[in-house]
Amino acid sequence: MAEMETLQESKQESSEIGPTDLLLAIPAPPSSDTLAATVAKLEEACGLLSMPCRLLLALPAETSQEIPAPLPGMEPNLPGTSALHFVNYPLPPPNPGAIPWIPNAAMYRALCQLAHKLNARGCTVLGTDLGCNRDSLTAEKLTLLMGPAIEGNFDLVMPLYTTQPLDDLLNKSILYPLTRTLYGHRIENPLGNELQLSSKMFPPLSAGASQDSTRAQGRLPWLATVAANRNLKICQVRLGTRRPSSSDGIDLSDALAQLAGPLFLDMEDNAAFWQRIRGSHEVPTFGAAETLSEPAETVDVRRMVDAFQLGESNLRDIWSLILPPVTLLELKKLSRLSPDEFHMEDALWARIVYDFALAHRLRNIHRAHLFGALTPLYLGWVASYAVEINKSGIAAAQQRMEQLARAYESEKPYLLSRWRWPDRFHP
Amino acid sequence: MWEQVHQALRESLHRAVFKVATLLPGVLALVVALLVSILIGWILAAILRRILIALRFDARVERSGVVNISDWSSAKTPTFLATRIVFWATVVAGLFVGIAALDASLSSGLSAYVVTYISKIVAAVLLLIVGAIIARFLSRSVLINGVNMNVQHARLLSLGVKWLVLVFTAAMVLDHLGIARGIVDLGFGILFGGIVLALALAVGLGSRDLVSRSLERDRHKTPPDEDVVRHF
Repeated sequence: MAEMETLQESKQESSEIGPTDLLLAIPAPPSSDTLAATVAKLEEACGLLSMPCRLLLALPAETSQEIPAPLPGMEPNLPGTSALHFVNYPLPPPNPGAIPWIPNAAMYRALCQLAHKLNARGCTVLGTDLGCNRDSLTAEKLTLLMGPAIEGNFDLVMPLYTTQPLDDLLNKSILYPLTRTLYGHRIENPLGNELQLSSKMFPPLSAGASQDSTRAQGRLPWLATVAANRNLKICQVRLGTRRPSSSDGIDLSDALAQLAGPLFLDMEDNAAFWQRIRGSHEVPTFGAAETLSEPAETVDVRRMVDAFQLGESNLRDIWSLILPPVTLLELKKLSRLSPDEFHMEDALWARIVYDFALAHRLRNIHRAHLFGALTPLYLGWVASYAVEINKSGIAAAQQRMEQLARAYESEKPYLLSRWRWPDRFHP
Repeated sequence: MWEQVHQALRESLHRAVFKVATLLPGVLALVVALLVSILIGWILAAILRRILIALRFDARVERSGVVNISDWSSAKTPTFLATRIVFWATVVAGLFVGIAALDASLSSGLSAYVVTYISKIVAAVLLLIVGAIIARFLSRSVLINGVNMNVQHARLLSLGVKWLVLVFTAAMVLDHLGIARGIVDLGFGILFGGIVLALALAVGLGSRDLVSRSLERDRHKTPPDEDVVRHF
């Protein structure tokens, strides 16, 4: 009801504001300093855009009491634009069990409904990094993010962050290669929350959730899938180094369930689509790449290898419900290796992820247990990857990721076979 | 005097024959009811099997069901289990009809007792199934979480939890059926109390050094790899 009221109010406001080109959304209530800095950066960014646009800044409804719209004394003189107006959108209450920096479907739904009603050409979402941290936000980054919708070239603009080889490993090991293999677009950060959506993305994101509310409520939206399914144009923009996400108090199994779980659900929903895709292709990438410095220290992988070995000796019965015998045999051999020579083949890891995705679909075991059983295997992959990075250095990291993604692609026939004929015996 | 003995014997034989003659139709009705119910059960089970196979019931249950039936059923397939349930339910119903017929000839409260007990048995079987499912779920939860927390004896803990729940369920089932109620209560109390006491002693006395060493190690441990490796 509150959501409806806020949207009604927004509609009334929009008629007062007039036509809007772009809705710029901030995901969390900003402090007044951060808001002032954002407005200043916006002013600067609008000067860099190739054509003028009318902007509307969307703030969570919680900030409505503190920040009247438009802000007195904060109406910037944006070149080629009318005064910057503010509008509120309903921000869903945070789920206590959810990872705090992950956006949820309800937020995207609210924003897309609002942007759709305002007839905006696009909606730029600043994630918790750019939207709530004034040091991270620059006019160049804003221009990169806003440009495609204003110029009308792309329907989904995803962020491309520069990360250290040992950062963002869940994305590197599962999310990126799996999304790339399934849908054919090489989007390196499919879960990035600094992004831009064109008006073509509004109907599926605002309507899709309400059609299947029980399944979609709070579920992480997989925007790359939505765009790929509708054959929309996707690009990436380099946003530099991202501040590491807070992992305090977040259990690795929970993180796996919250990040990989929605992708597995997406696989079920879009099985007919991704089974037709073969190979993958680059998506246009804008912005200058940053160079990384060589990490000062090497990683001690003993704890991760121990975790894998403990899993192998204790969870074999549970793994046997999910993995075929040949994979179990390879894992057994792997558990006998010492930390220095520990190496998990990329093809083996890809098949493991595929088998877990299939088990998620078939519910071979309870889904809460599934990601717990995947955790030691994931740590095994991390240990293997870290050993390689220790040996080869940072230069080989990018190549290593490409090699893993190619292994996922080459093992896709295995996934197709298992998915289509799950009852068939696989040695 | 012999006349009186002879008469007494004749009356006794008459009463016995009369009793048997009164009971015989009831026994016959019981046997007939049993045979007919077996026949009906067999036919119903066959029809149900055909329907379930046509509906791909096994595959549907396996895909959509939260519970993996094969773990607690020797039947291995849900179709087999469903047909067996229908067959035996029909046989039990036939048995009940037969006992009611026998009861009418006996004019005792046997049928009422059997009905009450059958409902108890059904509830006990349900308790057993639910207990087995909970035991399996909890043991897997303990095993997986234990492994992910680097607990070396996770399997032992998981096994302990599984058997604790199973013993608890068995005690509940026997109590519900009213079998050796006092012994079950006492035995379960002693067993449960004994386990808790043994664990308390093991941790308090036997593992004192282990706990202190573990705490010492935690204090001096090197920063975990998670400081260098970031998962997200």
